[in-house]
Amino acid sequence: MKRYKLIPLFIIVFCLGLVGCGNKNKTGNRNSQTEQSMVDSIAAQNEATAETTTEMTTETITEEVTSETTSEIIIYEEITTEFQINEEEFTGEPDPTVDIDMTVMPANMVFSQVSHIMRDPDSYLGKTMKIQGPYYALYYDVTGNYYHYVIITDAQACCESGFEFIWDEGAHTYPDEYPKDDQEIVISGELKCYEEEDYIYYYLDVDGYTVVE
Amino acid sequence: MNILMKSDVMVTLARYFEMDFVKRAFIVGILIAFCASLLGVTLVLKRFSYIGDGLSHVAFAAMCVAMISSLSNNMLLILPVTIGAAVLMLKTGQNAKINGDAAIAMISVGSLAVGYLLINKFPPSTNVATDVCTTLFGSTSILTLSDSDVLICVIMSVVVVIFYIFYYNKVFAVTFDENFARATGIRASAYNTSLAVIIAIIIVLAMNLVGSLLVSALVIFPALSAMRVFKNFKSVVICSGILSVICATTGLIVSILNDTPVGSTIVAVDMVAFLLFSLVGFVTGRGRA
Repeated sequence: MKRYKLIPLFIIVFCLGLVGCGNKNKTGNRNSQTEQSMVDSIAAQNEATAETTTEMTTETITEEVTSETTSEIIIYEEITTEFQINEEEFTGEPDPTVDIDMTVMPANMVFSQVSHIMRDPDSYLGKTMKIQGPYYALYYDVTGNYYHYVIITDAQACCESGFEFIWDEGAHTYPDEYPKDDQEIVISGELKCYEEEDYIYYYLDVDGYTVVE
Repeated sequence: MNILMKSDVMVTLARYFEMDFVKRAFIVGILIAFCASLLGVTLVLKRFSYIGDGLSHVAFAAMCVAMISSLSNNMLLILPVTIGAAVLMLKTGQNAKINGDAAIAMISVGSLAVGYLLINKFPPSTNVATDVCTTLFGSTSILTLSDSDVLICVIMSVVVVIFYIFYYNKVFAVTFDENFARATGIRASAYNTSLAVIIAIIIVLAMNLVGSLLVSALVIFPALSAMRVFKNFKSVVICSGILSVICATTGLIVSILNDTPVGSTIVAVDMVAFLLFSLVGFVTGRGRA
């Protein structure tokens, strides 16, 4: 009788395994607005569109090398306000012109703040924010558009989330006028939302970006 | 210069305390730390310290399954599974063919392995490392709690504290001598089961604060520290509760200001407190019993 006392414990562990087999289908769209979804979408889209973008990327690089990135230099000169985020600014006072300045927060606080914004975006609509992080672009083949994000990570770079931004209502062309992927930028603007494919997306409406050296 | 730096820190802290998620983190952190320390004394005295670790691993496996299953509320799965495991672990005592500590170790590593296996095989997102890191080490999970998380935590904490206050004498009796408790008419088995349920609830709640790998520290360190200095049950429980709250608060503040992982920072503060209390116990002669 005693030997059977451990059987229920094994059953629990085994049941965990069985229940876990249930859901392996995951929606692959960019619609679920959790803090992870943007990064997930980017990763998924990067894999999916790797082949189709290879040619374009090669052309872009060649063009950049041959024309000495003329267009990018001009753009940076126009939009960069000649300030760089350094250690003094990071530990300094928040920018009084925005409601939430995340460039002066430690990484964990920034990640937590962004997670909170994504969880309850309506509370932050209309507020102005300033964030810093590596830039990533995502091509979504369903709409045929590029979407632009600043990636936010915690201090250990263990947890990540992507913050979408739209520059001058999408008036600028990608990739010519945008930063390179993984380039550190600072953006500042108002949190707004738009509807696409019956889903509401939240983004930062910005009028430029600053490249951090 | 020092005054200026202190004032800067205070200004920074004041700015962070205006944020909702920071307030939530401190409310939940203090409640969890307090509840964990209450039960920690009983667990340590009953020599069940390692049960917390085993249960946290079972909870990790349950959380992995909940994440894979895309449940609307992970607690719906995690809590019953962990409570079931707690009851079984406490009931499956020394009389079983595989003795108690071996059974706990087996379940502990088994659950951890199954959980990690499942989350890798059926990843709920493309970033498995993030999910695992958050669940195992807490990472920033205490700072990203939702309203429902906070509500569940507050309700569960109130239940734990009420149970402890109302059944303090019975818990005391069962903790020190089950046979004597039975002889005096106390239903020791029922109280053991209740304790197992409460322990499971605390473990699940504490996973939000420090992650499943570090939960045990939250349960045992305050109790052990208090035992270095105090020698009666009531004093140890009170000291343990206060110390745990202080350590959790300090750990959270240090973590926020220095950008360190919340869970491990709280545990590090608990360790420092243990060393200090050990020193005090040694100096006053109380720790040499």
